[in-house]
Amino acid sequence: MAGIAALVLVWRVIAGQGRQGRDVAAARARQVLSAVGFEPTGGALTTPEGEHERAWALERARPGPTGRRLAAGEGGALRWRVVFQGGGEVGLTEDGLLWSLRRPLPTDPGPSLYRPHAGRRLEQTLPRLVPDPEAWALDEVQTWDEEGTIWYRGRFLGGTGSLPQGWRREAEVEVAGSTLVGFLRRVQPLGIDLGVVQGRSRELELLRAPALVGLGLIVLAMLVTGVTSDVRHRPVAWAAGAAIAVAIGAAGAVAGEPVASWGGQALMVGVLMALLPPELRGGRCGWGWGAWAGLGAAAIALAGRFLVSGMGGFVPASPFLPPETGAWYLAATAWLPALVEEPVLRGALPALARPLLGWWGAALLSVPVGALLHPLPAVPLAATVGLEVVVQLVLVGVAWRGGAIGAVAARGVLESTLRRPGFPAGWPWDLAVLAGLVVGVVCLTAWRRR
Amino acid sequence: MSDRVAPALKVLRRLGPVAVAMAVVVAARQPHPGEEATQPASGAATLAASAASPWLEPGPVRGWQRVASGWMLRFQPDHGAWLLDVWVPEAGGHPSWRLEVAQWLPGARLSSEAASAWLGVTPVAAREQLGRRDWSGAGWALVGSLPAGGRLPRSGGASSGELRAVLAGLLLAGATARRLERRLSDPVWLGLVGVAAVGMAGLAPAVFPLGGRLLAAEIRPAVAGLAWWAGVAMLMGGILFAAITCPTARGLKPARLLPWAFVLGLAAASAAPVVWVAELASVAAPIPALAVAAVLGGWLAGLAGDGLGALAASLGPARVPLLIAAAVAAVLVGGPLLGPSLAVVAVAAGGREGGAWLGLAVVAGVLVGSLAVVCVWPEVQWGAWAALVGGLGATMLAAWAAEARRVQSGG
Repeated sequence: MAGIAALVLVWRVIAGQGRQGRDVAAARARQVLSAVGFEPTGGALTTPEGEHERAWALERARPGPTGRRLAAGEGGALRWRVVFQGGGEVGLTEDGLLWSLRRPLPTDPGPSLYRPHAGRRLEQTLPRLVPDPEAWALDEVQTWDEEGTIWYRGRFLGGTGSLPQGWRREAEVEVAGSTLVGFLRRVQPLGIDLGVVQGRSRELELLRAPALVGLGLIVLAMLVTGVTSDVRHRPVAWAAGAAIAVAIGAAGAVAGEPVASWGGQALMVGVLMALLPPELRGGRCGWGWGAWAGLGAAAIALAGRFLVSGMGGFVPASPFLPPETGAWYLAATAWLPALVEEPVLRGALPALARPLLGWWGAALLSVPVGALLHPLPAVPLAATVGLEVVVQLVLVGVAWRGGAIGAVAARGVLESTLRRPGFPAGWPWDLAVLAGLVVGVVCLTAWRRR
Repeated sequence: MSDRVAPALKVLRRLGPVAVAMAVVVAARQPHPGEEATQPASGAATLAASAASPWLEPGPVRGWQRVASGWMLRFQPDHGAWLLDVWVPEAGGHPSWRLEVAQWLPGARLSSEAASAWLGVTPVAAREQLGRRDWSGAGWALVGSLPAGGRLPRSGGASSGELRAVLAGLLLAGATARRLERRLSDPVWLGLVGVAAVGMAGLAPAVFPLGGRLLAAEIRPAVAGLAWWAGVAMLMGGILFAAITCPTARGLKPARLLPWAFVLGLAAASAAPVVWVAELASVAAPIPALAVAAVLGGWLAGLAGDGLGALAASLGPARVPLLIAAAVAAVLVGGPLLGPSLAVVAVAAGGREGGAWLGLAVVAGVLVGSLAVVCVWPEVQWGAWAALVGGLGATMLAAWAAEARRVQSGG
C-alpha cells in the first residue's frame, strides 16, 4: 500500500508537467492553414522546437511568471511544429501564437500583384497572421520571378510589443502570384539579456573542466587499486559490475551517445562497481531508500530555485530543451549520469579515501566535484553552485544509508523529475519517469518484507 | 685526521670531477636565440599596452605565454565581454594583436564593400552574430565595424603526444609497483610533497597567468581564475593522495650520484631548455613557484621512474640495455620533454631507495639550467647562477651527509 501510495503521489507531482499545447497544436494549425485558403490533408506530425537560452533570457529580463509567459508566447522560445502529410506546415508557440507557416505552391497561384501596389497587398495579409497588425510596419519588399510566377517577400518590423525593452520583433510574409505561401516571425533579443545567459553557460562549461579532472583522478586511482586488489586475490563482484555496465550500455545507446563514449563509461564504472567493497556498494535496500530520497532531493532543488528567485537572484524556471524528445530518451538521459557519476563519487571516492579521512570525510570530498558537473546558469553564479552543493549533500546522505546503489537510484529519480518539464506533456513521458520509481518502490517493498 | 674528515675528503675527491663536468656543461652550452626571453612578461605588457586596440579598454594583463620567440599577452576587463591578445616579438618589431568579442555584443552590419574599405583587404567570409555582422579576410577581422586585428603566431606543438602518453603510463606503473611491493616509506618525501601540494594550491592564484589559456570572451576572468584554482587544487589533492598511498621508499643508496644528476639536468636544459620557466619566472612569486615545481616534478619523476624500474626489472639481465635504450630514445626524441624523460631514466637506474632524490636533482638541474638559458634578463640571470652554484653545493652536501652516515653505520 505504501508503495502504491508513493507511486500515486509521484504521478500527481509530475502529471500535467511537460511542454503544453501539443494536443491542440494540430487543430490550431489546420485552422491557420484554412484561414489562408489551404485545407491540409492527411495526418499531422507535431514536434517540439525551441531555444532554452532565449527563454531564460526572457525570464532574466522579466522575472516571474511574466517571463515564462513571454517565452511560451511572443518570445517564441517554446514552439511546436506541425507538419501535414499532404503538405503544409505550421509553427506555433506553446500559447498558440502563429510563428511560421508554409503551404504548398498551388498550380495556379493567381494573377501577379501589380508591383507598385505589392507592399500594400502584403500589408493587407498581415491581420490574418499577427494579432496586433497595427503595431507592424513594412520595412522592405523584394520581388523575383521564378518559373513564370512573381514572388513577393515583405519584411515587417513589429517594434517591442510585449517583449522587454530593447528586444525587437520581425516578420516575413511571402506571396507567390496572389497567394500567401509563407510567413515567419523572428525575435531579436537584447544582447545584454541573452549575453548574461550565454556567458553564465560558458562559465559553467569551463568550471566543469576541473570537476572532470577530479573524476579522472578518481578513476585512475581506482584502476591502480583494482590492479593491486586483483593481484592480491581479493573478492571481485563481477555480477554487480556487469549489471551496471549493461545498464550504462543500454542507457548510452538509447541516448544516442557514440559507442566509444558509452562503451568506455560502461567498462570503467563496471570495473569500479566490481571492485568496491560490499558495504560501500549497497544493496537492494539502497534502491528503495534512494528512490524516496531522490524525490526529496528534487523537492529541495525546486524549492532552492524559488528561494533564489525570491531573494532577487535568477535561476531558470523554463526547462532545458533536449535535442530529442522521445520518452525513452528521457529515461536514458536521466539515468545515464546517475549510473556513471554516482558509483565514482559515492562509491569509488569513499573507498579510496576512507582509510585516510574516514567515510564522511571521503564522501564530502565528492561534493565539490559533483556540484560543478551540471549546474544551471544563474545570477549570481554562486547560487546555482550552492544549490548543487545542497543536492550533493543529500546524495551523500543517501549513500551513507543505501550505498552507491542507493545514490544511483536517488540521482536517477532526481534527474528524471527535473528533466521531465523539458519534454512534451503526455503519458509516455510520465511513464518513463515512473519506471525508475517503480524499480525503487518495488525494491523497498521487497526489502521490508524481508 | 679525524673519523669524520677522512670520509669527507674521500667524498670530495670523488665529487671533484662533478664540478669539472658542470663547468664543461656551462661553458659548452648552446645558445637558443629562438627561445630566449629578454624581458619578463610584465615588461612586454608595458610595450603591448601602447599597441593595443585603441577602441576598447583592454583591461589588465591576465595571462601570458611564450609563443614563437615572443610574449603572447592576454588582456581582459573584469566583465569579460572581450579579450585582447597581443604578441610582442623579442626581435623588437611592432606588436601584433587580435580582439575577441562576445557574440552577443551589438555592432554594425557592414556591407561587403564597406568591410573591404575599412579592412583594406577583400573580406572573404561574413559571420552573422546576434546584433552585428563580423567580417574576416586575409587574416584580418572586423567585429561589426570594429577592427579586430590580424593573425597571431601560434605556439608550435613540438612536444610529442606519444612521449607524454608513455610518461603517464609509467606514472600508473610506478603507482602500481609501489602499492604491490611496499617498502619502508620516507617521511621526508611525504612532508615535502605535502608542503609543495598545499603550497601550490595556495600559490594557484599567483600563477594564474600560466592558466591564461582558460581566458575567453564571454567568460569573466574571475571565473576563469576560479576554474584554474579548482583544477590545481584537485590535481594537488590527487598528488597528495598518491604520495600517501604510494609512498616513496626511504633511503639514499646512490648518494654520490646526486651531483651528477644535477649536472645531467643542466646538460639536458642546455640541449633542450624548458621554455615555460620564463612564464613561471614572470609570476608574482617566482621563487616559491619554482621550488614547488621542482619538488613536485622530482616526486613525479620518482614515481614514473619506479614504474620504469619495475618494468625493466621484469626483463632480468636486459634491464641495463633497456635503460640505456630509454636514455638514448629520450635524447633522440625527447624534445622539450628531454629533461623529464632523463629524470625518469635516472630514477629507474638509481633504484627505489633514493631514486626519487635523483629525480629531484635532475628536475632541479633542468629548471635552473633552463632559467639560465631562457630568461636572459639580469635579475633572473643572477638568480639562475646563484641557484646553479647552490644546487651543486646542496647536492654535494647531501651526498656527503649520506655517505658519512653510511660509513658511520658501517653500511
